Amino acid sequence: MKGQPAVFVVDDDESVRDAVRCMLEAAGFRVETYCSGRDFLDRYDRSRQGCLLLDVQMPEIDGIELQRRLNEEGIRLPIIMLTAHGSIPMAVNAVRMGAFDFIEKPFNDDTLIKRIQDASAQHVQLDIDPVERKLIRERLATLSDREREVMEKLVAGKWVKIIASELGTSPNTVKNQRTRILEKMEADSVPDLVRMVMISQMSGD
Amino acid sequence: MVGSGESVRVLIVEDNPADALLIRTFLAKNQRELFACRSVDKLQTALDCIASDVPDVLLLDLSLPDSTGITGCERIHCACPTIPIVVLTGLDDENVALEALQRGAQDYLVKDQISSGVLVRSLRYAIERQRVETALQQAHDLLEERVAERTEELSRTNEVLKQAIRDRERAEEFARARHEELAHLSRLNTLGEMASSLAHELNQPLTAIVAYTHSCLRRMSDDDWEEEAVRDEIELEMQKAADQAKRGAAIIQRLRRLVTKRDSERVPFCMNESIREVTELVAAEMRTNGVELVLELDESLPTVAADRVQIEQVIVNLVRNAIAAMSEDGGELRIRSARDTQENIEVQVIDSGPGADAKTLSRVFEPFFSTKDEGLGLGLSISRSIVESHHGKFSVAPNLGRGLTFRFTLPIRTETPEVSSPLAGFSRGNAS
Repeated sequence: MKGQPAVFVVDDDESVRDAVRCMLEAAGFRVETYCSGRDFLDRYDRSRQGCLLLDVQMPEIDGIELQRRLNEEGIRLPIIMLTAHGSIPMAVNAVRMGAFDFIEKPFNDDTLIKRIQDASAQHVQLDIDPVERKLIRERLATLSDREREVMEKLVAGKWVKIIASELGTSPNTVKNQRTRILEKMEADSVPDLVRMVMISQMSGD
Repeated sequence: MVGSGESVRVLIVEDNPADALLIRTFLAKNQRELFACRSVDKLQTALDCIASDVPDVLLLDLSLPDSTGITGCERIHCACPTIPIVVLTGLDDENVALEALQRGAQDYLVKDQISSGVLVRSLRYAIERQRVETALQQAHDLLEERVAERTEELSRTNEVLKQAIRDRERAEEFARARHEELAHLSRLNTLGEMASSLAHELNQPLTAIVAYTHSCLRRMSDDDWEEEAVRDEIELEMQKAADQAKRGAAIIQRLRRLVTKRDSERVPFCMNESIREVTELVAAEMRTNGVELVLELDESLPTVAADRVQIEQVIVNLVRNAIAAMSEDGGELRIRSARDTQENIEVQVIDSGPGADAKTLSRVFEPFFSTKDEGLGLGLSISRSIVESHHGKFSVAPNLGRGLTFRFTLPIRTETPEVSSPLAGFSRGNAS
């Protein structure tokens, strides 16, 4: 579905691109990958929302340079820089220039997911639709206490197995609850659910 | 000596007084020389005389009371080889006469055929022949002595030379060890310079492995195991993770080869394979500097017997040098391998950087000369000495367009090491 928020991964290493895509897709994210800064500038649909994962060290147009060009174009996608040990000063510089954060390679999935959620939250805050927020809050009110509990853990990026053991139930029960929550919330993935929860928490009443 | 005015001293060994007298008479008749004769009648007496006073010539009868036959001649010749001996014999026996000559006598006379002229001439010739023989012997002895002296001298010189060679070999061994040490330090230094890009290079597969693994863990936890598609996906990602682990291991292996410090060994290896290994090692540096790699490798190249680690070090130095030259605006790095007409393998490393002026080019092989901010400036001088220690040539020249071409050659060793063929035969024999 076009127009849906996605995570855009820009990295010149093919296996890193593929692996990060697998990891995020397993967590329910929509992922699009680009092999260079040039590739992203050429193919990115400027109307798309989401979060940009950007490798700092790339040939030709590196992460910092791409960030500068996007700033110039007025594109305000939240950016998370992917760094290696040696490139942390570059990443700090990127944050000064407006990147949301940086994360050091290699990274765990929950760490990355948390950063993506935080980055999206910050982004969402900038242009929040009051009508949508009202709808979401109404849907949230239909959840049972248990469903709300499960939802909070899902939103934190936890695996089903972990949630099940924390709540003392079986993974299948959690999976069923997850399906019901997505239905009630009219969300098509966990990341979508995350976005809704964030919107619901924004002030503006 | 003869005819000098002095008398010729003759010792007559003859037990028959009449014969002795006859000889004295013959000799006295001679007008040209004066003969001083002394007669003895026993061989032993004659030997005693010789011991104290050597006569100019000796006349020897072969039938004496204490000696008969040819032994008398022999004993006198042994006692004093320089005395000319003329044998007197009663019989006209050719065999006895010949034997006497072989045992050291100069001449022989048959008693009843003697005349004054014959006797004098015989004595004179005997003395003269003996003199010449003795002179020859002395010359020969002198020559022998000289030869011995020179031989001695030569063997002393030879010893000195051998010591010099040993000293030189020790010095060369020392120099070689220092060279290897320096090459190793230079490798470590190069690796130090490459550390951050290598860390980045190693971090990539690690990142991929962690991501694939987490993806699998989440799928195993959250998705439906009953679905074949889920299992297939997990299997595929585990496979990809394993491949990335191998990629990391390959990087480590390449690194370890460059850090090793061990005795130089020259075994046949494939130059193209080394070039590919090195370009893998510097892939990250090429990427971040916007350098594009073009390989033009002659796949029909024979193997070359050389120190592989050191040759790869040369290639690393040249390639990193080229990358540094193009770090401003990026460019194209071209590596060629070929076989030249003179049984050499030639490797060219061609950059498209800004090049260098003649003054800089003339200094690039100097130790500690560098146009870069970082680095010791040892890379090119070490590279050249490595190539030269392999009897190869190392040179640099500006390109027609932009940039520089560094090239080195290595002689192709056609002989294969002894160990390979018997081992090959052994394994064939075993397999059957």
